[in-house]
Amino acid sequence: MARVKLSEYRAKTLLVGDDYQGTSLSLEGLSKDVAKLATDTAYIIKVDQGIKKRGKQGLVRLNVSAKNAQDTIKELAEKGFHRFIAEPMFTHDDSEERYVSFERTRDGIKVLYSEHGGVSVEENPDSVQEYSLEDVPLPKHFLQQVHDVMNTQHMSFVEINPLVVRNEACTLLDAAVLVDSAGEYVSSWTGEDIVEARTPTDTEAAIAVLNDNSPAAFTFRILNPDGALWLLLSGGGASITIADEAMNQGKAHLIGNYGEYSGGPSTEETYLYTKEVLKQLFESNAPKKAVVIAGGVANFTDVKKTFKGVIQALSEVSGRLEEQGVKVFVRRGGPNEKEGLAMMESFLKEHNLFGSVHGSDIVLTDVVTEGLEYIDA
Amino acid sequence: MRNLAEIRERPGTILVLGNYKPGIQTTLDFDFLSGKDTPSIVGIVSASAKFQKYFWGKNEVLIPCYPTMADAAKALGSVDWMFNINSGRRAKQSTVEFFEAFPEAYGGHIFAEDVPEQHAIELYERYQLSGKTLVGTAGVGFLVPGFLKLGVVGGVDWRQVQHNYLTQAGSVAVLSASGGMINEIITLVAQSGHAMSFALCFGGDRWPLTTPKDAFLAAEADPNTTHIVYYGELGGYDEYELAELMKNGDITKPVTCYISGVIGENFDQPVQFGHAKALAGNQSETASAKRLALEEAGATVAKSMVEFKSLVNKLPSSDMKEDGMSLDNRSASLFTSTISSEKEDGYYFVGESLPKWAHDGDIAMQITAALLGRKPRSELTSSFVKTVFLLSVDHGPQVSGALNTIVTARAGKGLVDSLAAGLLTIGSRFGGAVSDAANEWFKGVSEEKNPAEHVEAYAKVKKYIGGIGHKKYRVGLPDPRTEVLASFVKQLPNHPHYDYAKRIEAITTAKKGSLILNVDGTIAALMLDILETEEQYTKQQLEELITADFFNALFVIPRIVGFTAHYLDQKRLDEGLFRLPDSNVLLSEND
Repeated sequence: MARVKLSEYRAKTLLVGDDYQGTSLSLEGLSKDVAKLATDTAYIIKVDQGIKKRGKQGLVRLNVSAKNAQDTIKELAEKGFHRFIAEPMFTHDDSEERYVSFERTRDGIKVLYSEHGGVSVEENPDSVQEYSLEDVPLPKHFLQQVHDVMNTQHMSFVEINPLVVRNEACTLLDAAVLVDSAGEYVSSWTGEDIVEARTPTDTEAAIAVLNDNSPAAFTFRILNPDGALWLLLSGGGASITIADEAMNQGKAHLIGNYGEYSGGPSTEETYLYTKEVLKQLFESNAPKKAVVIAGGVANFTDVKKTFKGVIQALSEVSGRLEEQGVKVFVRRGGPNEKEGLAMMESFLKEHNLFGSVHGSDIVLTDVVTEGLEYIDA
Repeated sequence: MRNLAEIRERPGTILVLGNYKPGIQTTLDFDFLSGKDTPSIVGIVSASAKFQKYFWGKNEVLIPCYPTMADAAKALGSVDWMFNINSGRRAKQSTVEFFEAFPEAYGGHIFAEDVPEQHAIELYERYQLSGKTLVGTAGVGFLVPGFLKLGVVGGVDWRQVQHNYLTQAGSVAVLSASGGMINEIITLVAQSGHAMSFALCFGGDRWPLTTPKDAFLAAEADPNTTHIVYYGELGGYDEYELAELMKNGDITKPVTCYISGVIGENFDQPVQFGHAKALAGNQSETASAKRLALEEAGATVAKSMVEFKSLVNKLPSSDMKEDGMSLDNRSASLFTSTISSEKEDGYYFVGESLPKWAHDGDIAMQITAALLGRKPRSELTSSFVKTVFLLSVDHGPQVSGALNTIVTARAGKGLVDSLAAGLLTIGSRFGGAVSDAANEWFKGVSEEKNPAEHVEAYAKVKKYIGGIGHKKYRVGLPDPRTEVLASFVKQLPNHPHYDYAKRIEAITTAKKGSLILNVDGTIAALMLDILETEEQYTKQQLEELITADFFNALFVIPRIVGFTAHYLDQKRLDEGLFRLPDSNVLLSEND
């Protein structure tokens, strides 16, 4: 149940309902989307990819006509963006701006409110005060609406800044919403509405697809495309602990990726996962590379079964790995540990990729030390 | 959270919600290796089968499965814990159903990942705050060495259970947000010569049902725990709560911990790590800040796993026994039988030794037990079966089964061939009426059918109702066999199937005098009533008997005696090969 960011457009559509006047524009369907804009209206156009402080970064354009919208968006797109939002300009005084946020907690929805909205909330951090949903000085119908939408749409965090209230009518000038990914199956938003400030790499996207289509879990994130140490880790906790070790030794910059597989993946799935990690390894320009295959002592993930997939992927490129002098360092425990490790050891030795193979008799993170020593040698 | 001393006093029983074989087997292995007499898992809510086979030591046991929670509650009465292995989407609903069916249960473990935050918070408010102990969502569960294993914590391989001393009670409490790391630490603790007082995994979700604070307080209150070993991660504020507890003196036992995730501080944008909670949205959620807070509160905080290991090594060691028991080379049986067995002291049939059956000398009782798969609870049952057999033994040589037996015997074949030839004619047209009738009466009663409509439905398609009609007997000329059977009606407290059959008869005989409730129909109706009232069969069990052709057995068994008699009769008479006289065959050629 990770919290993920909804696009501003989808967030406002859900929070405001039918009265919402914004238009979503994508780079792919630009001319079609721009055609939806009214010719007699002045618009504000913003990048809609969950980026904070867009104003400061020049990702917001004011008073854009429908005629100029296409050119404005193309300009913004040159900075590497593809999703935008257009809303009719809302003339107001800065003093009308308020700040409000709602966060789901174990003790109910926590509300933070300030009379100072927009950029001035940062200048007046003490003005932000915590309220219960009943006490916050905002129109009741609006609070009820936010409360209901948060529940039906599995929203975990809603930040509206600025908010303008005139005669009980609330206008959401900006809204940032985090939704609970585990609630997608009962909500109106979909994976399409989730935005990420950074565009995923091909490998990240491929592994996200693998994760979405499996009861097991797979994550992958590129940290340094020219990294020397490539990690094939298992377990949510063990993977962080292992990556920490590189940080402890002041070598975090050498790590190519963070990621993990867990939850008892099949042989085929670990094959596909490994293949993607190795693809990234080959793209790295590091002079000397190592692969660390490591995890804690599994509760139920079968070491032999998962290693079979890993070996299959390694064997497809074993020649290239050997040519580049890549060595593989392994540490793993759990069901069928002995068989899995023996299989891995004989494979690595046969293909001249052997760095080390350990079971649960060495400390989890020692294998990182070995990998780093090899790279540095 | 439930008091640990109480759990050791009374570990309790577990109901499993969903299917996950290794997760179930590990608890049985744990129970067995801990020296328990019976498995703590008493049932599985799963529609896949009636029983599932698991190893109990090197032997196998059957764990009953129930299609619904209500069925489980009816059969088991009460259980103490739930091991919920439903998906994230089903986790909340199935947990609510569990506590509705077992309101007195202590709690359970929810294994699923991807439980929506709202559901987790609802479960917390509804159950945790009212005193239940729910562990999860996500994570690997809860373990009290030697007493309770609720989940895959500590591993699913029996060797892990043994090597990590999971069956021996010690003094170190191992608490972790991560399922993988708890097992890593359990292994570390065991390798350095310690046994645990308990181990609990909160799970990596944002709103764990048992919070780190709850578990720390449980460790403090536990007389067996002397040290707390804790693994935490970046993200969330739990460690500040723990630090408060230590500062206030609510936690006095020494705490050794590792907080992972300093790698997250290497990036300008916050990184979402493997667990849902593992994201530092601000400075105080970072691993470094939390390490500092715990250190200031008096915990021993390791900077690396190597340091963590040496800190764990320094804990006072426990006195542990090496358990040499091996569960290697177990192999699953290919099929299951509950009817008979060959034991060291002889042969057993339906729970009784054969000499005992012989001593009691009651063949009707033995056959009734054979049919039910257990001894009948009421004498009336075997008395009825006996009457049915006495009435059904044979109805003349003209019927197809007897005729086939006779023709085969006269062709010079032996007993088995002749008997088989006769038996093979039994089916929907010959002898199958008891099964058909049972189906009619059962549906009529369980679906509360209107008898008139029931008859009308058959009349419309011009079909006979199974169990109705006789070629000779009619209204005013009753079948003496049905009169003998009817004497059982008086001995039953109620007899809905018989009543229903009689209401059908009242309608059909009004149409035609020969459409009486015949002997097959009477047997079917009374057998259903006896099974329901005397043997406490449920509707579902009765339905299964109908599908399994049980009622046909009431015809087949006595008729084997009749066919055998015909066979032996023919051998005695020895009239030679039987051939139909030409005059009895109409020869007609196709165009």
